[in-house]
Amino acid sequence: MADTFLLEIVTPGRLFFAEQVDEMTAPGSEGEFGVLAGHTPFLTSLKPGSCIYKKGTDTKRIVIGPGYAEVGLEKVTILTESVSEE
Amino acid sequence: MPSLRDIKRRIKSVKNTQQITKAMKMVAAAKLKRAHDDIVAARPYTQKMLDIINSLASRVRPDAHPLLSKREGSRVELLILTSDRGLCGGFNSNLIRTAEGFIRKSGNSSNITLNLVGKKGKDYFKRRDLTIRQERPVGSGRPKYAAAAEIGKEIVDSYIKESFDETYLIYSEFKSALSQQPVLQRLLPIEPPAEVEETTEYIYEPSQEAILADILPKYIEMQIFKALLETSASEHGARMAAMDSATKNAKEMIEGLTLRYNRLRQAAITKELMEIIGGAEALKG
Repeated sequence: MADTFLLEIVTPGRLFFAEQVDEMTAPGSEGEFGVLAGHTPFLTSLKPGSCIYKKGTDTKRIVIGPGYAEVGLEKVTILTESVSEE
Repeated sequence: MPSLRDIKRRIKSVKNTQQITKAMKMVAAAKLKRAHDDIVAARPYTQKMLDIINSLASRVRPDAHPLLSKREGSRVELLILTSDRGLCGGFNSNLIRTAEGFIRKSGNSSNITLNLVGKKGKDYFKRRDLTIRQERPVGSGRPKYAAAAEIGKEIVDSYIKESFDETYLIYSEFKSALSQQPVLQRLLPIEPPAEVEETTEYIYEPSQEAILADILPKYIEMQIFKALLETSASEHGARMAAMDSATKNAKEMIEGLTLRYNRLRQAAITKELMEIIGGAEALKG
């Protein structure tokens, strides 16, 4: 299995972000959760907060509004109404 | 019979009009391009949301949420999207005609309340004997999600409060730059999706019902947002086509007038020459 997975951040206005990443954490409504490649399928609503992803040695933070995350084996899709990059 | 100077004046005025329609056409074309990009950009979000709802709704009972369950009763809310500005051919009248057709078919117009977006719709329906529950202009610039969210929230709240039993949406579907189609679509209650073949089992957090209750109003907002985008693109498309044919008509008119002007000019010259020759002949004699 691949070590990376596709992270997509989608807003009503556009596809904000789509890249292969190694790891990411997001603020779920029941608490923060982390995802690595091969995560079990999982669907949750999100609280406003920051979504942090790691790509190689890079760590970046994206601030997101309320929304939803759909986690699949090789893909994570975040649906949110607003985003801003720090 | 108009004089030479009258025709010249006409030509000048038609030329001015032509310049304006040409400019409007080009502006509409630029706006159409942008509006079309917006529609394309909004697609992934709509699609993803639909996927989630389909996978959720097929697993819960249809009465799991008030927005999904059908209600007895015949009070209908009609959400009609029109434009603020005219000069776009039959665009607004097509939408209004669709609405009128719906109202006529439903028979009892006292059961219908209107929710109007766009000045043109308001201008028309305020003279009719119908209840306007809400109305707002489209506003300038590109349609914003926040505006759609506001309209959607208000509708969902009123629906849950049982102000009406069904909501229909009339908007203009953007097929291509040259073709726009008024569409009547049921917004509420939400049509439960047909059985979908489910491949992945998800873990849901907090619970299926909670996510569903959260996402359904969002779905309505998204539907309205999409309709706003399509209507806006259709408006620019319709305006572009209308202005294009106006420019063509002006061109034809200028050609006709120029021909007439030249004929008259020539006739005047010939007449003058005849007079001079006639005068010379008379002197000779």
